[in-house]
Amino acid sequence: MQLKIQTKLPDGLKADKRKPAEPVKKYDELDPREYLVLGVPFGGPYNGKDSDGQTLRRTPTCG
Amino acid sequence: MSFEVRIEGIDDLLKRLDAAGSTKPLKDGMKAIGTSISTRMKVYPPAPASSSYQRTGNLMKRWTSKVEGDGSAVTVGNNAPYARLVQSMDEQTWFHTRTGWSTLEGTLNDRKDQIVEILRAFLQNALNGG
Repeated sequence: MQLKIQTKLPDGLKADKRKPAEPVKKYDELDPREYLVLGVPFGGPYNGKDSDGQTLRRTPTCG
Repeated sequence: MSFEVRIEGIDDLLKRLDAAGSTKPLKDGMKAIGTSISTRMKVYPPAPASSSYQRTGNLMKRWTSKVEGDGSAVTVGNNAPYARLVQSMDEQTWFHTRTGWSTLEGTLNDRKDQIVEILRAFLQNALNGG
């Protein structure tokens, strides 16, 4: 003995037919990245700061 | 024997659900409907005063429900061979009618509004981000 309760799905329902999102690469396949270093702290001659009162030196990227 | 009931009036929610990209709330709602109906069907009427029969509870344990893969339907049923004689509207024996056994079809008819509301609540809740 059984009974079916059903609803008509809208035409063209595609919610479950979509391919799930996948990463382009797996984590292990990612290339090592160079990180952009914005500045390197240094000890300046004026209580650890330079003449402008700054404590960071701008620097090019380092890997 | 099989009996089918269609749920109407939720087209707008189903379309929005599709846009949201998942039919899980629909499946969850159908599962809740199946549980609601089968739970009600497990309730036995009081035993007749004159009866000395010891109930086994077997019929109660044989209620099942299964949701279709796309969430469009849920089938509620009882796999005890004699279930139809006790709880089917068309085949219930006069004795079981007289002693107050509820039927699957009757229960569903009584709960049509509630079924729609259960499904609507699940869909609305999902669309509201709940």
